[in-house]
This record gives sequence, structure tokens and C-alpha cells, in this order.
Amino acid sequence: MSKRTFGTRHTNRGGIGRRGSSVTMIQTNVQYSYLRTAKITFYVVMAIVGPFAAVISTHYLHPLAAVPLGLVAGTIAGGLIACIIAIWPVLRAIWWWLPEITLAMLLIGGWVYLQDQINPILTGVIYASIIATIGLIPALRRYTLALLWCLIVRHRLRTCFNTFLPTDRHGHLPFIGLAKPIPVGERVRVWLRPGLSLEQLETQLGKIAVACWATSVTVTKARTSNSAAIYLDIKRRDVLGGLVGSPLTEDLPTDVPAITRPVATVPAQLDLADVPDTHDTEPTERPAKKNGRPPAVTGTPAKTATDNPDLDWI
Amino acid sequence: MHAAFPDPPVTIPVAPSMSMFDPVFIGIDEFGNPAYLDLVYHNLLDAGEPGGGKSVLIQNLVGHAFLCHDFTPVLLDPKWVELGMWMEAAEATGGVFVGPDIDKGLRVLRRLQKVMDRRYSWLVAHGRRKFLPSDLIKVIAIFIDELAYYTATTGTPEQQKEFIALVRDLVARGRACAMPVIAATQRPSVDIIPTSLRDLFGYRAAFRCTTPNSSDIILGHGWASAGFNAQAISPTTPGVFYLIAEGGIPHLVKAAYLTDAQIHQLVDYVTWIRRNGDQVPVPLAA
Repeated sequence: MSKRTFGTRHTNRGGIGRRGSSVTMIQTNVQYSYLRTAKITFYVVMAIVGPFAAVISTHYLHPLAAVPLGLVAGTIAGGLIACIIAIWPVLRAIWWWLPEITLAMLLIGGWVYLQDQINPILTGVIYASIIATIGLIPALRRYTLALLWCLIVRHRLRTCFNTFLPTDRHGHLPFIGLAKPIPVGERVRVWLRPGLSLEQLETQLGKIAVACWATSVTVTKARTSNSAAIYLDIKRRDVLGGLVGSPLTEDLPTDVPAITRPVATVPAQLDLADVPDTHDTEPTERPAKKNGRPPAVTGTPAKTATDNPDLDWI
Repeated sequence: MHAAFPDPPVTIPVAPSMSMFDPVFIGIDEFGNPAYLDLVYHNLLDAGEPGGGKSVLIQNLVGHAFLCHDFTPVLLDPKWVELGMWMEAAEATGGVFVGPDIDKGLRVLRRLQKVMDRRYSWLVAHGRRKFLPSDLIKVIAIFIDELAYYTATTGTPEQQKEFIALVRDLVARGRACAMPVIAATQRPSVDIIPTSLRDLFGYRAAFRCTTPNSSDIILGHGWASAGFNAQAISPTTPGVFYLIAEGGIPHLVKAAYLTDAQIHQLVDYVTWIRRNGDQVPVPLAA
């Protein structure tokens, strides 16, 4: 429980109350109780499932037998859902680390299986070969690195959200979904909780980019029908640096005769010194600085460059 | 001893099979997917700092358009060197090229306004709301490079106002009658292009900008703070731009690059396949 104290003397030992002239203010931290929610959910589910199961059971059983059956069914259903809610923090942590847990189990399980089938040395050789293959084949290496970035980014985003994103009064943060590699980086699906909006995330994009070690981050709606589902695109690679060719000339015949373009009169005097300083325009007056703003331009219009190649620079 | 062959017959060129109603390939996005634009029913504003690659995107669109059988070009380019490369092809196709001449530009826009009115009359007469590919209508695409030259640099203020009004009319009404406007400029701020015109463009392409505010002027307010900031585009990667299109979310796209040689090749081909015996606007070397 966080506690903020203003004007507290050293003699004070905390707690609510007044001692002398000092006032101790305690900011109450509202803790979201999963157990309390689980209890409420248990009773609600039992109240719905129990009678419903009992009514269905009366079709097959005597009503006196259907009532305890409905009670049992309601208790089981309510208990299961209440358990899920009660252990939700644990499940959420497992979800955060699910790819890593799955990968570790696969690696360990595979090692144990191969060790039983052959021997530990050959198992090590097989594992080393797989790692070497991934490292030596560029396409595999790039794809593996992209997947690793997906794992890293989910944890970095969780750190971001914990650090500087506003939460609801229960301390809930956005739910981080799966990440997938895209050519420029990673795309992460995020589910916003009530109290958060896409606009709030937009104000933090710079910080998110820094935390994810990325160039930039963009946020867009994942669905047009639901504002809670968003995509965070973490951009760390520039894929548009190369030249993109145009396909327009690919199918053109090669024996097309070239047209003769009319040769216009080519001006030879191409330097400033070649153009004499003739007073062909009115000298520009220094604009009056009245109220810090020059007057609007009126009067003589600019000359068109219709036939004057010297004005082609415009 | 070689056999004597008669002279080969004159090659009969095959007309292009593409249509302006087809999606236009403009490059690849950052996911490696090809990016396409539906040009006929949308207007495009192409903006960004000098050297950002605006003309690269324009050349893609023009190149595709000239290979379409249902295209009439209207090209306005005060610099000559971008859209001016297509001058001969435009003339051969029955279109118009306008250089740094606002008088001619205004005349062309007034003609386009009349064409637009007639097209809407046709639609009304047929109980329709827009043209479809099955109508076999020619799509008159108006490409304007350096829009600011005509709206803020050259001509009298009255001419500039009329130019803006005509372009606004084309952007506002030209979509359904197959007359899209593709305009490029460096910074479409209110002193260059009125907001009432700028906000009508459905597609926006923001090349590298010098400030997040400039990026927001092109893409729309708030996108820079959402991470879609054209200022963040690297100056070492010209041709990269944010495109806000039908999806409503800007996508980073790298425009396909047409070299000068490729553009000349396309111009030669387009001019060649559209030549006829009645009028020879451009003499052929061969």
C-alpha cells in the first residue's frame, strides 16, 4: 500500500489520525481483489447454472432428485469459473511467458526423448546441427531472429505499460496479445481495458519506441467495429531503401521507332553575368513594418514565363 | 548462300489493353505488398519538400494513363521537364500540354468545365450517377505539377483566383464524370492552396516534409502525433511517402521509379501506336 505523507514529524509513526498540528494523509490504494470477484462470480454462476440444470434434469429425474443435481452442477460450473478468476494473475503471467515456456518444454522434452532413444552425445550433436543450420542459412536465421524479436517485444511492451501507461482504478493494464513478424519489425495485437484509449497510447509512442529499441511505433485500430482491439507496429528496419522498378516498360516492343522531338531554341546564356541588369521592373520598396506585418502584395503582377526561357527556374 | 527474304511488313502495333478504370501500380508498401491506386474516382494531392520524389509518383500515374486506351491527357507543368516529357504523346493522344502559361491553363480549364457540364448532362439523361468502364468513356485526367506556380506565383490575382476556382470545381465535380485531378505542390498551406480546395482531395501523398505541421497539412490534422509523420521519412530514401487513401490510415509506400530512358521509351511507344494517316502531329524518325 503506497503512502504519501505531507508535513509529518519524525515522531509520527504513520497511520491515520492527527498528532499535534501535523496532518497525515494516506492515499488509499484500491486493491483489486481477485478472490472477492471469484466469490461473487461463483454465486452468480451457481445461481444461473443450478436452476437451469435442475429444470433440465426434471425431464429425466424426479424433481426431488433434480434439485441436488442442479446444486452440484452449479457448484462445479461456478467453482471452475471462480478458480479461473482467482488464479487469473498466475494465468496472465503464464500467458506472458507462454512462448518461452513452450519453447523450453519442447527443447527439454526433445532432449529427454532423443537421449532415451539414442545417447546424450548424439543428442547434443543433433541440437548443435539444428542451431548451426539456423545460423548458417540466411533465410532461417532472419526468420528466427524475427521470432525472437517478437518474444522480446511483448516483454518490452509489458514493461512500458507498467512504467508509464495510466491504468484503471484496479491497476489493469492493456492485454498484450500475440506478436508476429512483419518486414519492418513486429506487429503486436493489444486489447485495451476500459479507461484507456488509442489516443492515450498515441501520446506515448515515442517512449514505447525507445523501450522497444525501435525506430518508431505506430498504433492503429485492429477492427473498425471495436476500439479496444488495436495493433502496435514496432518499426526497426527500413525496407523501402532500395529501388523499386516500374513494370510499365516490361512488355513494350523493342522495335519502336523513336520520335523526333522538336528542337526548341536553346538559350546559350546560362549564367547570371549573361543577363544584364536592366531596370525593367520597378525597384522594390522596403515593406513598411507596421504592426510587425508587411502589407499585402498588390499592384504589378508577376510576369509570366511563357516565352522567356530565362524564367524557367520558377 | 542466304535466301532472299522480302522486306518484313510494317509492324502493326497492338493497342494497349489497360484501362484507366484498372488499379494503378505505384510502388510497394512497407509490408512488401504492391500498392495500387484507384485513380478514376479519386483526386490525388501529391506534396512534400523538393527532392522528395513527388514527380516519381506523378510519372508512374502518367505512364500508366498513357498506356490506357481510354485516356485523354491534360498536363500542366511550368517546369517543362517532368510532364513536358510527355508533350508529344499528349498531342498524339488528343490531349493538351500547358507550360508556364496561366492564360493557356485557364483556357484549358474552362474547356474542361464545359466538358464536365456536358458529361453530367449525359449522366442525367441516362439516369446515372457516374460513368462506368462499360460506358467506354474517355477518362480526362488532369495532371498539374507545381500547382503553386499557377495559384500563387504567376499571373494576376484575378487569374490566380480563377485558376483556383476552376481547379476546385474540377476536383469537386470531376470525380463522378471520369475527370480526376492529380496535383503536385511542395507545401499546400493556405497561402498556396485554399483549404476549401485542399480538403477536397480524397487521396493524399505526403513525401518528406520539414516539419510535422507540414505533414499534417497534407495528410490531415493529428496524423503526425499518431506516428504517421512525413518529417520522419529519411532524406536518403527519396520516393518514400505516406499515402492516405481508402483505408483511412496512412501507409508508407515507396514509389516505383521510371528512368528518363524508360519514360522516353513509353513516349515513343504511345506516340507510335496512336499515329494515323490523317494527322501527323509528331514526325516519326523511322
